[in-house]
Amino acid sequence: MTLEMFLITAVKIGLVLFIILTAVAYLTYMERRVLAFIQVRLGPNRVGPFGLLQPLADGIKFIFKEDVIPNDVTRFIYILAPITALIPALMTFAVIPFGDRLEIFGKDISLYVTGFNVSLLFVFAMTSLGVYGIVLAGWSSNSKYSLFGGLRSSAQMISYELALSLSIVGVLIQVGSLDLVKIVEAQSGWYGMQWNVWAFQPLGFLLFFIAVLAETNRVPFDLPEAETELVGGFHTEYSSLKFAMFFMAEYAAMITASSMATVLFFGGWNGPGASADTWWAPLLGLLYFAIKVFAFLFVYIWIRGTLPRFRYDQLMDFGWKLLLPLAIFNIVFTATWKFLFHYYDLAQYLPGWMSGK
Amino acid sequence: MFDAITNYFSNLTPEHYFFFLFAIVAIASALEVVMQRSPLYSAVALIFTMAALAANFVLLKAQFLAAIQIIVYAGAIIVLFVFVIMLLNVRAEESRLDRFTALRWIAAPSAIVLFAGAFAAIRFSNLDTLAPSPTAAAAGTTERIAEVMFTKYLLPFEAASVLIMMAIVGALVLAARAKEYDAELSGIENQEVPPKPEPEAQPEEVEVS
Repeated sequence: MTLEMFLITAVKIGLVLFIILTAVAYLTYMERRVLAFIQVRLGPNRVGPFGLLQPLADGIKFIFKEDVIPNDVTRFIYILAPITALIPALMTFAVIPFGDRLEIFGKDISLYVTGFNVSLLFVFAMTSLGVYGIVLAGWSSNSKYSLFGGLRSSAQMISYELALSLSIVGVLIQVGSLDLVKIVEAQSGWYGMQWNVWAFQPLGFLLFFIAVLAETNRVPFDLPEAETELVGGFHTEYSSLKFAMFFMAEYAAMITASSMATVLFFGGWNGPGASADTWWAPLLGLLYFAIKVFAFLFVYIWIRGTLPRFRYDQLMDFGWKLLLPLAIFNIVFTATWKFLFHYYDLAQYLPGWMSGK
Repeated sequence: MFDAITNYFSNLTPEHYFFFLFAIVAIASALEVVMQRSPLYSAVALIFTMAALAANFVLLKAQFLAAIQIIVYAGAIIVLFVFVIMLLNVRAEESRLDRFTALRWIAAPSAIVLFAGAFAAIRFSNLDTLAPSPTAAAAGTTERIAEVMFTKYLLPFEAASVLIMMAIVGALVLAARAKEYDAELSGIENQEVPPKPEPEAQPEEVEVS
């Protein structure tokens, strides 16, 4: 590894971190504004033009608030928990392919930090570590609300992780790779519109989206922090910057989930004109990626403004008795389809538009 | 002597340094797993062990194994450990540890035998003279593992899945029995179980024609 490569990577890591953290801050603003409009209110509009400086004010408030550590907590784990929540949430962005390769000053630079042959599994490994922050926070706080929040959340995340990982197996069978970059490249046909969501994983996408809502503890699956019964859930006893870290981890997880939905099912950076042979095509791809992620985040908030919360037994029934069998059905269906078309080449007997070629 | 040491260190690549870093983390946290009094701290130390092992898998170019190591062990199994520890009364478990003094006397000789065995295996095998095989670089990829698993080791693989299936069925049976047991318990507590009110006789539906 030469110094030049090292510098390029370091700059990319810094840029991605900066952009993601800014996006996290403005996602809170977006959530408050959109929710307010859904509820026929105005939302925060006093700090700066249209309230655009509100996230900055919130951040300063979080930093200067008193950092209270209650007396009876298990101190080491209490301090460790927010850190374990935030770090894996940010690490996923190391492998998410935001865009294609770009030529700057005669150098070929990829528009993602790094990519390797199992980057999809890396994302799943990091998101599965995210549960520790919540569980350890719930246990170490030595408070019944926190403990119940932590227990609920771990049970929920374990249950829905199964459906989540099974829902993407269909995509894997279709593409035949665990590399996120290759998954995106495989969706570039049909003038950049051969996305997995309609060719041919609509069920897989639906399952993925529902399971991801549960994994990120969003409405209607936000039982770990149901205010009416658990006060604040696992972060009841946290204040100041430690609370802010949970907050940031949650919103970073939302951005990760939206990016993964974009990469796996909606063609990543693909779109009309993004694979053209011009210098601005990769930048157009970046724009497409950002628009798709933004659309998913909007749907998240929209759902929060619309749906009521599940009851706990409904949540478990839904995950185990509906999502899981459907995900397995999707795998069997996709595998059969792939087997018939790929190995027996049934496509030659069908009209061209049906075979997906 | 010093020459040998400086020579050794001058031959190291960055990969070696990372290997030592992760190996030290793995061993230290593994020791912590055994030596901690509190079960929860042990579980947390076990996560660090698994993460360090996964990092070393990456250095051996086995990225698939590394990811699976984190997903399965750190992401699922230890979460269940932590879950159980949280549900049980941890403080009571801590004091009970002191009772197993007999185990300590067995533990030390077993550890010595184990280390002697490992040492002998390394010392008397031809590990250091083995040349790395040309396929070693690709041994950890997804394709290679799948190929081996579904051809050479198909029977053990299927046997393992049957074993897991049996475990699931066993868990279901136990869960069903626990429900019956609860029902019995509640029956004993309030001796007079109020008989279920007989469902009111449904009025016969009159067909309206």
